[in-house]
Amino acid sequence: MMTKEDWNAVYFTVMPILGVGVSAIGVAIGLLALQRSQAQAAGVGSLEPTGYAPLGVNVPKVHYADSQVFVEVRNPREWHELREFIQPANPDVVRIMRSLYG
Amino acid sequence: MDSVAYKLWDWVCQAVQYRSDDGEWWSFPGETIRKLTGDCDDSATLLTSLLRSAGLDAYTVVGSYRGFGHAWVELDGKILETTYTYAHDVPDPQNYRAYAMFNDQEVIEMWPRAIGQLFEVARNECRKLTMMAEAQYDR
Repeated sequence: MMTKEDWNAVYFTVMPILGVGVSAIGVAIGLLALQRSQAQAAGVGSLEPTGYAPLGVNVPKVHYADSQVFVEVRNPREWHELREFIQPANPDVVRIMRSLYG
Repeated sequence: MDSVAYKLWDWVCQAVQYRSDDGEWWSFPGETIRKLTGDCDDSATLLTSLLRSAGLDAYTVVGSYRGFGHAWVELDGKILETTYTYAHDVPDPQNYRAYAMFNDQEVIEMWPRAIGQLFEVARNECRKLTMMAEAQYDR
């Protein structure tokens, strides 16, 4: 059974640690907001981070085979040859290109 | 620079809103056109596709910008930065380090197994874009 003094001791030990933790999170959020506003003011991107990946989630991998480079940069175990990401004949790509080409 | 190339570059800069990935996700060009959002690799592969569609010899380059993983486009040796909100020259090309370049025809690694090392490079989109902004202020 904890006495009132025990509870007080726990309170005065935990609260300063909790306070420092909350302050640190506040400072980190402030710094991130500052970075974002600086980037936007300079015309670099419309920075809108959607979050940060937890470690180990969706980590890209590379696999070499038959002089080709395969990358796992979408779903796990979904391998794509690097050149697949450049699609000059894609109908949407051609449509945009023609609309700007005049 | 070819005026068609400039128009396509400027269109990508203005139309595609920057949005960093949760983890790593490379979109295909058609997906990026539909969403009109993406990070550096999405906008770079889209612009390379558009330039290749126009018959130009463009490459998506993957590498690092001041130590952070990055992707951009190279056309006739010139860096086309696609995370800008409009097309303009990069003030600090010396800070771009290519690991590999590719298009629909070929993949060129700057040294053997460079792409494998690419994914070990630190990722921090917020810090990277801030450094790009600072480079423009310093110009």
